[in-house]
Order: sequence, then C-alpha cells, then structure tokens
Amino acid sequence: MNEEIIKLGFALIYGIATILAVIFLGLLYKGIDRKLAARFQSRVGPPIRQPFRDVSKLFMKETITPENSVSWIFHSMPLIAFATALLIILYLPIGPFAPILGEYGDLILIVYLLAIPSLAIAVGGFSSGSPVATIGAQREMVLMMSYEFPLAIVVLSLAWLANINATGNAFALGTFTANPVWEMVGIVGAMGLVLLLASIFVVLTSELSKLPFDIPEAETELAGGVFAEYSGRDMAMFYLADAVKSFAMVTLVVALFFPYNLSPWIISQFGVELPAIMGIPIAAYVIDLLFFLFKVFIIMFFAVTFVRVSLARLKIDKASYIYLVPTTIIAIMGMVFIYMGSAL
Amino acid sequence: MFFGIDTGSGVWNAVMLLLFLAIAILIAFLLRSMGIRGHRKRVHAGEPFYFGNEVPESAYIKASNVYWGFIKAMEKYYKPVMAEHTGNVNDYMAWLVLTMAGILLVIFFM
Repeated sequence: MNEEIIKLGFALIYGIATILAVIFLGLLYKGIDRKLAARFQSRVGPPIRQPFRDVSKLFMKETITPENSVSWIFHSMPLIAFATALLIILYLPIGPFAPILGEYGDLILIVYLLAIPSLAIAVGGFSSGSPVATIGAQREMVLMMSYEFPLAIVVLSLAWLANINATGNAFALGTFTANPVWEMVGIVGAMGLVLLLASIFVVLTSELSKLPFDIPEAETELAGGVFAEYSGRDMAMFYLADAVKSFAMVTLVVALFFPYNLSPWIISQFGVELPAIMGIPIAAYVIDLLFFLFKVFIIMFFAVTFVRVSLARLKIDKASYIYLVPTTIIAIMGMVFIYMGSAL
Repeated sequence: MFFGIDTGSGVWNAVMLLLFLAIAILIAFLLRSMGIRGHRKRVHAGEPFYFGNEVPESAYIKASNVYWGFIKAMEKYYKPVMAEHTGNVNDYMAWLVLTMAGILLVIFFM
C-alpha cells in the first residue's frame, strides 16, 4: 500500500508539472500557427508570444453575464472544458515520457474525454440565451455527431490491429508506443494505415474547430457564434482549453501513428553513448522530447495551419456530409485494407 | 491501484479519473481566479448580442432545428425514412412484423 501511495504522490507531482508545461506549449504552438498562417497570407502576423498576451488581456477584461443566460451553467462550462482538456493530456505519452495515467485509462476513455470540451462549449452556448450563440452551439453538436463516427472507426481499426499483432491491452496507448503500427503491417496494411491517417487528419481539423470546419464560431457570419456572449476570464478558459486540446489531439495522432524516438536511432547509427546523470538518460530524454515537439509541429502544420489557410469555411450540412460519407468511407476502406493485409 | 477495471483489452480506473479531474478543475479554477470577476453596471451590458437589433422571440432556434445540418447532410436517408412515419399504428405494426420476419428468415436460413 505504501508503495502505491508513493506512486500516487509521484503521479500527482508529475501530473501538475505536465499540465503546466502543456498549457505553455499549447499557447506556444498557437502562436506559431498564427504566425505561419499570417506568412502564408503575406501578412507579418502577430508575434509568437501573442496567445500569452491574449490570455493575460482576457484576464484583465470584465466577465459579462448575459441577462438571459443560465448563469451557473454559463460560467461553469469554460472551467469544465479547460479541466477536461488538461485531463486528456495525462492519459497521453509526451515524447519519451510514459502517460501519467496510462495504466488507468485507454483509448476509449480518451475518445470520450475528447468529446467533453466540445460538449461543454455547446452547453455553454445554449445556456447563454443568445440566438447567435445558440446557432453556434447547434452547429457544434452537429459537427460532433458527424466526426465521432470516423474517429471511432480509426480507433477500433488500430485496436484490432494491436490485438492480433501485439501483446498487452489492445486499447492501451502503451501498446502502440511499444509496437509502432507501421511495423505490424505489410504493404496492403500500410495503405490502410495511410487511409486511417488521412481520416484522422480530417477529424483533427474539426475537433479543433479550425477552418474549414470552424462553423460553430464563424466570426464573419456569427460573430464568434458559440463564444459570442463569452468575455473576460470565461473566454480565457475556452482559449486555454482550445490551446491544450489542440496539443492533446496532435499528441494522440503522434502516439498512435508516429511513436518513434530519435535517441535509439542515434545510438545504433553512430555508436555513441548518450550521457546520463545518476543513471537517468537525460541526453536521450532531451533529444526525444525535442523530436516529439518537432513531430507535433509537423502534424499541426500540415493538419491545421496549411489546411486553414488553403480552404474556405464550409456550410454546416456540407461539413457534416464530409464526415458522414467520404471520411467514413475512407476510414472503412482503411479498416478493410488492414484486415486484408492481416489475412494475406 | 485502488478500484479499476481491466478487461484484458482495455483499462479504466474511475477513482483516478475523478482524482485527477478534481486536480485539473482546481488548477483551472486557480487560473480563472486570476481574472476579473463580474462587470460594472451599465446600460446594455448584459443584453444578448444580435447585431445591434432587438432580439425577436422567433430568433431562437427550436429543438426541432437542433440537428438541421445533420439531417440535411443525410437527406437521402432521412427523407424516405421520415415519409414512412405516418403516425398510423397499423403501419408501425406492419414494419414490426416485416422486420421480425426478415430477422427470422436470416436466423433460420443462413
């Protein structure tokens, strides 16, 4: 029992440190994304530290409660969205570090947790008593109903693959970190994985409410939509939740599809011994963490920044259709290819 | 650790989830408390935003419109299915009998 309490204490300290680091990284990546998007559009763009300034500015603004709102729901939803976004991070491996709660939750739990910030946004919008926010909330619900299906297919396909090719819990992220999916398949299966990756890339954009799927917010037509009535510290909570959830969602893609570390390759390729302090391979940790942050950057660049500057906002029924039909078909094809690859 | 479910395919520990959720809410609450609470009293401050206009009663979307985009996207499926909802109990019973007959056929002949 004592050992378990020490383990829990360590997890608590490690968890709090991870949460603080991820808030910082989430805002940093948001800044990089905005800067790069601006460069794509031949603008100078805001400085990379702008999201930090935005949050501090929001904390200095008044928090207005709309007259028609259900105030306790209106004020609690931003808190729930942010807290659950933070919780997701604890179930995901950050670079070379195993997930803090990896033993206590699996992929299915992560998929459910990913839905909670979006649900909180929708409930917050409905509770604000504004027609504009209500339309935004309605759109958030419709989008969520649409993209959950292809996301579930991707997760189930990968779990099925892990179940027949790897030891350990099929739904546990640790299984995917120890046995990269690309090493479990042949050429046909790899084609299936590429299709699943494409599906999850499309889902990623919507999960993060970025163009062309930022329909619930739609600044130009709905004036912020679901967030129209939010201000001050409540808006800051949603802003932080978005930053953290973006990082979490990309981390999930990295963990599922690209769980590779760089340090083993350096050691085998160059035959060097990486320095360690008191038996802890610090150099390897630093290299792997930097490599992980680079992978996050690459995925964020191609799945978010590049897409959002290239495409215009879609109509809600078109967006819903994209998830329900083409993306789902692509995901099912990926699943079939993986099955065929395994059967061959 | 403590109470958890391990099915061999997946794991879930509700106690740890709630414990760390409480910590995450605490951190979020502490951060939130850094912000300014409430607002000064002034005219129009809490009025719902409607592009500078008065909010008409009809501006609120109804429950039947909540899933509009979803139903519109799947129109080809929903249109014939919704047309079958005649409100006549005899029709529903006919569907029930037909579906049961189909299931029984599958069970006995496949």
